[in-house]
Amino acid sequence: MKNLFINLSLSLVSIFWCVSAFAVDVTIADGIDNAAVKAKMERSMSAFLTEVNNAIANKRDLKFGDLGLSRDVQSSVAMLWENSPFECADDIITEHCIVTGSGYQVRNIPLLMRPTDSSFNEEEYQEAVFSFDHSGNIESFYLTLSQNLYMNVIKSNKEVADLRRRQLILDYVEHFRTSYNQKDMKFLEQVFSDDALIITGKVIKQSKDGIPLPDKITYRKQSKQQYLTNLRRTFAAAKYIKVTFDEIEVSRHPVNPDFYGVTLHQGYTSNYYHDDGYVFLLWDFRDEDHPQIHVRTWQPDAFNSDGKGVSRIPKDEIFSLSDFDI
Amino acid sequence: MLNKVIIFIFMVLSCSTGVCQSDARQALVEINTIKSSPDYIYAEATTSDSKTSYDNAMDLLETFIEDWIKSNCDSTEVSGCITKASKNILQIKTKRGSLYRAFLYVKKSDVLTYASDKDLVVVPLGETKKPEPNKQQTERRDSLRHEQDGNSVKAPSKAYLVDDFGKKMISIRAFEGIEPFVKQYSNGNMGKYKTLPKMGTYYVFVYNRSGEVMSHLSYNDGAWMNILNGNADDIKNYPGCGAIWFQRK
Repeated sequence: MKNLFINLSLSLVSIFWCVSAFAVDVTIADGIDNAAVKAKMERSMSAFLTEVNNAIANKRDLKFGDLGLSRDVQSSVAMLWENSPFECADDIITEHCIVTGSGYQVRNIPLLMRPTDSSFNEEEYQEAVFSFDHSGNIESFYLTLSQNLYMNVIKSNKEVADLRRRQLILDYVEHFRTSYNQKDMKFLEQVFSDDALIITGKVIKQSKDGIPLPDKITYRKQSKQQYLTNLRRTFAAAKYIKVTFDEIEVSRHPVNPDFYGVTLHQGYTSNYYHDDGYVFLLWDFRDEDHPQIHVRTWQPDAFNSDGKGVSRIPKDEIFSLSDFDI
Repeated sequence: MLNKVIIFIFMVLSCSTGVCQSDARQALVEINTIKSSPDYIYAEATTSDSKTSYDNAMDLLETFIEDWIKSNCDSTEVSGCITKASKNILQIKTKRGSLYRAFLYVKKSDVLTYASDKDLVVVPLGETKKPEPNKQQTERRDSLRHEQDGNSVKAPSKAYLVDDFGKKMISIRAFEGIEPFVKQYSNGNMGKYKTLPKMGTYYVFVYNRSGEVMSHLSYNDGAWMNILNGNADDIKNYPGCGAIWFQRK
């Protein structure tokens, strides 16, 4: 009897250890006065990230049952998980709460991506953001731009004077980037306008008698449907897609203040392909609840312009607002 | 057998828990304690390279310090506050998996240039005895003005020579040297630029955000002079800089 009691106690302690080893505790340091909403947000973030760590540890899918997430959020997170599972890098997290137009945000959630494809062995660090409504319900969970990039745009007051509009643009850019990682065709269908102009550039290497000649860049025009059809095929073929943005510039149209040009230096990686280039997006914020992209261009970031070696594309050759009539 | 297996599992978990209470764990707890406290400004970055993490975190921290200063101090003090803050930044280095995490922080109380109890109320002119050198300068200037008012003859120009005091002052090239110099040579009247009196004779150090002293000026009833070369100058020629004035013994 005594032995049985000792065995049961040790078993319970061991089980408790295993479970609590994956528990994540999130605390909001400041930025929100409503204590009840704050506590609700902390509980829901802690529960979500604990479940993420448990799922990774036990090599299973996420169980959304007790997390209180809406169907849309569950679907979005599931897509992200399917592309690349992830775990929370820290078990204690303390962050500020930011007030947004639609509720709150808690940024800088540290994640380590754990792609299932064995070709990606590197440890991938990403940060995510929780967005909440005014009642403290989770509205979304996205991967973010790096904090340095984010702050550069938020603080730049030369081109984009309205802080709230800047936050909105960055939120959408982050959602846009996450949608590639999630292979979220539904969002991409909705975010591109029906008459969107898609331009992609391709570098053609040339040589004569074995001597390299300057590269040629050709541009191809596609409609929204052509682009999305090709993208759907790409998503189906790729086990893993990772899109990163490491430079960003936001400009407001000088005449139409609801139109913004966003230039991003993009890294695109899948299990069988990689490229780096500049993406230009022309965003229309006339309907702030449903902003749309009218133009998307892609150009390589470097090419052999003079036959002597590869160099960065000159800045004046990168597509910008001035290249398009609105 | 079952007993032995359970005891073995228990011991493994105990040992692994002990290992986990390591430096990394302590660092994580310390970082979160600092983040929870309202007394600090902080920033962090995690990358695959230690130096990049540090540089990114420092860029962010400088931005956050500037934001905080602009919300809490007079804008003319921003440069001095940032300079002082940079001397008091602390770092916690840790890792996230195989990645390097740089966490930089500074106490808000270490950001201000002078504590409020060091700010002296400027004594209006005439209420204290002026030191002799200042009085001589005032008389010389008055006689010059008198000549210019009375006739069209300009005062003869003299070759400018930096006096001994001026030489000592212009030898101060870094922010750290200002406070000890001012304490040594001032009569107790000193302060930040915003408290500079309109009338009187004072000496002014002008410094930038990097802690370099950009200029050494004298100020006489509204007229600025560059001590290095004797040329007319103006505090407005140094936008984005901070300034500390003092009155000589």
